[in-house]
Amino acid sequence: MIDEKRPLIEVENLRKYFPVKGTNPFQKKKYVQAVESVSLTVYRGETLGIVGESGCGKTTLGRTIIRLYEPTSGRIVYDGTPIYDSEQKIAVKMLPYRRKMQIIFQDPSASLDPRMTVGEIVGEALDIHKLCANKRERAERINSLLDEVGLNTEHANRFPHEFSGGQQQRVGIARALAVDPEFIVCDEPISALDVSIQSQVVNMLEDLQAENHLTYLFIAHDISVVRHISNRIGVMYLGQMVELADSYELCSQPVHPYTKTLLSAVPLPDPVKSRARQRILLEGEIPSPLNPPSGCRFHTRCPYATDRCREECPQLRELSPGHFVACHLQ
Amino acid sequence: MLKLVGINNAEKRIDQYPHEFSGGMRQRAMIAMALICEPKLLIADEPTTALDVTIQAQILELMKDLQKKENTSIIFITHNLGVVAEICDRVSVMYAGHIVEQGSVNDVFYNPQHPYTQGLLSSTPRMDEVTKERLVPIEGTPIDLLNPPKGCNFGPRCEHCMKVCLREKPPFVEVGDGHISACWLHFTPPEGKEATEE
Repeated sequence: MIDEKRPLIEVENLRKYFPVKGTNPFQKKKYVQAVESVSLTVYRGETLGIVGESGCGKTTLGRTIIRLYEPTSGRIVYDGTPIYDSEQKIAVKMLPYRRKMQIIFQDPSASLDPRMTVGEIVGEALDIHKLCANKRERAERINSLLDEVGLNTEHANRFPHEFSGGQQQRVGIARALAVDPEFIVCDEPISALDVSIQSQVVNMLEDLQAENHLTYLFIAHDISVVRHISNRIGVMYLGQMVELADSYELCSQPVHPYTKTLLSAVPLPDPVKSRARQRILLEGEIPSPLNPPSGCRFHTRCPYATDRCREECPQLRELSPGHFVACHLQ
Repeated sequence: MLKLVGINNAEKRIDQYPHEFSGGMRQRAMIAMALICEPKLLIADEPTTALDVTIQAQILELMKDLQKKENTSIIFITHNLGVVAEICDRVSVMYAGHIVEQGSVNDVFYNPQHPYTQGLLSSTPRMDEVTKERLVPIEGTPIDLLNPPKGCNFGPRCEHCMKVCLREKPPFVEVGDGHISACWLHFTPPEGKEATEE
């Protein structure tokens, strides 16, 4: 259930720059502008999808919102309480918030400690937050979590490498659920999985959301999956949000030229339709975020770019209710 | 050749190393390498899987173009059904080392006969769906090829699995013109299906 009146997370002008190591100490320091002035609101109970090409800053955005990366500047408000504000110099201790905000990582085989058993991995969060009074309670909680994600209780004594990719991702999900969070960043949770397993995990995420009243930030590069699971979708390009709208509206009436291109590039599993449609092909490739283009970051590849686009950076504006776009042409 | 595969500044690029190229450019260079001796057959093994959708679209257009110009046959290996629908004339669906269904792209997509093909199609979210229906996944996990099952390889995951499926491998049946499928269901009359089901 989406509660439109109750924002869970509000992000304003969030920036994250990564310094690049230069060889010359006298040279000016260079920064990768991974996330540049992103503002968004996540409402209680909704799934907000984030799509974009690789290197556009989706993962950095997700990790910065829950402060796994310390933001460069901006403001993050969780449930009415600011947890980070660069102007007012607020940066709260995150431990109590880690119970409320969790993340499911992209590559399950890389994100699970190979030297810990599944029970230890899931139980670690319970110990840190002191959620269980005794060992029996802890074991019961681990078993019920494993059961919830479709694993057997005897799996608790096994190591991650003994599992298939889909099962490893289930362990990752159980780990995120252990502290009973309200908000989960799902960072490409299914991209590393086999096609036939992807839909199992998508269905499970949907079920868990309904049972536990979860709010998701769902990051993926596969738009068809994001469209399936999300209520609203944000499209990112080179660290900036270029369009944000209801998922159905975004896919049927995209406004930003980049969104249009991205949608037309998605292959349809339907031979007649996919051959009949006109595809917008982009020239060239994504510019480097080390040295992003001036003005609108998309102007180097945009077929409609004007002089204004080259000079002035467009702001995200509300075009129709709930449909935001950052483009001069609208 | 580099110009043919759409690399700008080919004169300058020819002296560069692969790490100076982006992912899409590298794949273009690979295609140039493969086509330089004008082969009659090109085997493309997941050529677009590592690429972003916009770059994938560029590479697919390029391959279609080159196929017309050079008159090459292509075996295109991929797990992406959308790419298949776009570029292929005929499709073979494989499961655990066996071809389970083969036919023209229209037959396989609009009239899939094998339960595995049907499962693959129904478990993929589609951009053109109007309502948000729940995905229908294929249950279970791919089999262990060290100990393949005795009967149909897909048997343990198949919702229509019958006794005969666990006993013997199904033969190919021609279900349409040039459309074949290997499944015991094609032998069972629809009314008798319930009786033999496990």
